[in-house]
Amino acid sequence: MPSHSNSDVDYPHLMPPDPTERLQSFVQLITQHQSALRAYIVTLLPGSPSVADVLQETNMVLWKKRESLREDSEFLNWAFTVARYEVMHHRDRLRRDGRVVFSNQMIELLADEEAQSAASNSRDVSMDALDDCIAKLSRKEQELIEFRYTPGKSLEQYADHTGASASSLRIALMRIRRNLKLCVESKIALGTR
Amino acid sequence: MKREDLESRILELLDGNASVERAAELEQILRSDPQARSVYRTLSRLHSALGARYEGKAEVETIFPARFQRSTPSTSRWLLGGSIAAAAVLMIAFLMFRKGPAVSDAVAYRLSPGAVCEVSYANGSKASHGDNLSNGAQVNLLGGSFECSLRNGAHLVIEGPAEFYLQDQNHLVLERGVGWFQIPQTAKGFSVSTNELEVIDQGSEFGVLSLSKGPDQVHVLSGKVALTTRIGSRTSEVLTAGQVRVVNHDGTLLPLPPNPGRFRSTLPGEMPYLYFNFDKVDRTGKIQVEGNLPGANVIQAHLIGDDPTSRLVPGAVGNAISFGEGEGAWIDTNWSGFNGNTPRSAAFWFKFEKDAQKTGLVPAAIAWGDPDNHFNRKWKVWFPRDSGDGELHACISFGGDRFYDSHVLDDGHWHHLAAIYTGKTHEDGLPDCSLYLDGELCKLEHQFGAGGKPYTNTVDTLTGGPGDGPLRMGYGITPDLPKFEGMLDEIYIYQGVIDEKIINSLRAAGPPVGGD
Repeated sequence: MPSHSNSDVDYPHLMPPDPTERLQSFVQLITQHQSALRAYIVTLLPGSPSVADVLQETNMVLWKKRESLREDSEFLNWAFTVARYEVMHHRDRLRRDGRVVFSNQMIELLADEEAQSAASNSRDVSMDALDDCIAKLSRKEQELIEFRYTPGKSLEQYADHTGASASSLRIALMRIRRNLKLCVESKIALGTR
Repeated sequence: MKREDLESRILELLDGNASVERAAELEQILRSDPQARSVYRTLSRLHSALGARYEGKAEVETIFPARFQRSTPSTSRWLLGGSIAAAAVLMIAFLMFRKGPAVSDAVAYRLSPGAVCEVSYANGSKASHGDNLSNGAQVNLLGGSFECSLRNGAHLVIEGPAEFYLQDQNHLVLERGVGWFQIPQTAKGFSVSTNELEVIDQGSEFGVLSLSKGPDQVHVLSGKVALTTRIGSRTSEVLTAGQVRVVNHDGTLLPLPPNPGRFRSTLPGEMPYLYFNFDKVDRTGKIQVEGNLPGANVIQAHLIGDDPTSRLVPGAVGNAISFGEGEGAWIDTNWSGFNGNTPRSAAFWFKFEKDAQKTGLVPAAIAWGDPDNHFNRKWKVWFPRDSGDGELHACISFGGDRFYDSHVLDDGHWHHLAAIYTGKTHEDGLPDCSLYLDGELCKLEHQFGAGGKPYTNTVDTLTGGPGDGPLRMGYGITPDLPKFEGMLDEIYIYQGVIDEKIINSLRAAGPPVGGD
């Protein structure tokens, strides 16, 4: 005997075989790819204070539209598409506010290249590799990185704390991050992380 | 440019410290040099990973529905930053619509029979039943329909389950549910927003579907509205009578065929219900299904078993079905049942002869949903024997949580039972339900089901999936399970909460307590 269907959701039509398992799988997908999505947004909106907002809005759309996802393997490309639209919207707002933004063409170029490398394992910074590389820094260097990236802390606070000038700390920070980049790349290349 | 200088310029940009001129120079370099872009992407990923790492540990108890979380999420630290964002999405989506209470402009509202509605305000106060609705009201319509006319003449009917927020007399946020809106000239400019779209009236009658399992839709029934999507490309369009749009995942709008009958513009006079009448069961076992529940006319019920007509016995009212005769029988339907935490009531007559149903496994009188006892995903009204006193009692089971009445019921007499679930949850997390036996409210004892304490108390009756059973009555006839050894009559299933007046009217046609 036929079941009673809900015609409100016949377009687009996608009824998962097992709703509970499907939603568990979707939650896992969205959690697993948060770092990739965040990195994608940072790449397209460098220096923007809106990264968290854009990520939240992207997540909201992905959650709301989760029934549109046809195959788990398409998740990242689909999520990047949604994120790209959110980035473009925020970019317009940032530009109106006088902030530095990439041109549309630059964003499209970067977005295309990120999408092409979406399937590659090498695209993500391994957290374990990063942890190992941070552990190799001196205590002061670790403190500096922590002050730079911890919400609520700043280089200026660290400068006050240590007596160093903010400009010298910025130079030191540049060096530390270049070294971290080299360290992470070498670990990935060696397959050690 | 030297590699070191390029990296410094990139980090300057990522830190937000680049001037417009320096950023433009860097962009020129990146656009023309793929290797420079590769360096840029590597540094931006590092920069992002550092940001996520130091955003700190936070509660990963997300507001993704708890039932979908794994028991031991394997989030590593660098995911937590994103998980915080992911976890906060729905809460932020909810909170972003919240404003402080505006100037009060209280209006009366009405609910359909059996509707369950909770109204609260940002300051934490809750409205009592019968109170007027003020600006800033957050309404959780668990079931039924809600109708209201605002001060400016805007008239609306919302069908539950729904959640909506009356920001002020000119703006309503429909977080979930189906709404119909009729806007007179005096209220022109009235707007409705959902997570995905905003509709601004321009002298119209329109309907909005804010769906949790599909994209949002707008149907214009008369007049004109301005529609803008709130996601992706932020598309805008003016719609006129007969036009329907659905929001695409990228924020564009797609047309749909008109469906003018979809929206309810008045409250239903009766609570939606189904009625299974056993007075006429034909030789094929087909059972008459009546009622005003939408779709009742296509619901089919069949008595599965040998010689259906032989099972008709004198009932509480007209004929009843005796399920335990011979090899046993049960009733199958094609109706999936009420899902989620939709308020519901089941009322029926039953009779058990002494010592009936003396088996370890007991089939249900009425049940639908997912049988897994580790969750509250089913609705089951049944009569198990107590393992302690050996007596037969009535029970409501959601799967993990069960509620037993203490009356002994295998006395050979007809009794009337009403099992009710309001859709609400008590402060201790247990579902709010009640049983009325022969018109009297029972004192229920809570126990856990066969699976022990459920992974979550949340009631989420699952329907329509491959493992979810439709409505069945007297079900348990498998090679391994025994038959239902009782009689059932006059089965009513309501989409809503029935009160004592309805229960007494259902009992009125039957025998008195202790009668045959």
